[in-house]
Amino acid sequence: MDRHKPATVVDARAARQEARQPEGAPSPAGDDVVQQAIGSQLRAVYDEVVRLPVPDRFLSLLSSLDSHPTAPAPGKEQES
Amino acid sequence: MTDPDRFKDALLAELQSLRAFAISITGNVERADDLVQDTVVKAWTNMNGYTEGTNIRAWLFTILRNTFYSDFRKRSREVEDDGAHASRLAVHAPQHGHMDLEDFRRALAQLPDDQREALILVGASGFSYEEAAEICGCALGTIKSRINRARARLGEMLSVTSGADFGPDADSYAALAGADAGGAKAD
Repeated sequence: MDRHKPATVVDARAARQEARQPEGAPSPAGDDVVQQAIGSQLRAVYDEVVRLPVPDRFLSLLSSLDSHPTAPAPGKEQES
Repeated sequence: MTDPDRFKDALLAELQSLRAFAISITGNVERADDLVQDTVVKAWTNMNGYTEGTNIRAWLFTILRNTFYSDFRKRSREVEDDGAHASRLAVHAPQHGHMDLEDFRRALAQLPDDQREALILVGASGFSYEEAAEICGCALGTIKSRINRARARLGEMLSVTSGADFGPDADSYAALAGADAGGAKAD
């Protein structure tokens, strides 16, 4: 009965993410529940990292690129 | 000819995913940020190498990956020893994180680099097998077999360590949300 629990969570998670299971993907471990759980845990772990706030330095980098299209990044070797 | 303003917006929109991918291959936030910075500069300089209408994320990931393997890997090998490997994708592990996710992180870190990379590209970043093959500069079949082997290995490792309790429950996602709301305080 416990085995049904992960599947439910996986469904909810997958629906929220985007159900992007390549069709006909083989399941070498031979256990769909385990493979689905692997997919959802992988996304959970990776999403933590994706959601990290982007440091301000990148915003300033981008605006400096904007004003000087071919200038090197600040903090890198300067030319000009 | 690529429009600079549109290109900049696209870069901005991809920063988070670029950074996540960089963290996953460097295993270190600081090095990941340097890598992302170099990638952004290279992308900007080679803007016209990008074909508008094609997948810009795949294009950027390719630059990031090539930059890592050509410049960063040598440099970081001098500084780091293999200890950093285990911290891959564990940089943001909440201390009160769910054990199942902790097990998963540990298992993921044990995969060979090429298998973990392929799995992340397709299973977490939303690329197709074809796009992942292009990003990694290898054959489609190679990507497929890396992913199959990665899934099989993870299945073995996690079935053994977690048994019947395998799989996150609702509470683990609540814990994740809480950890995120608290901001990044990874050490």
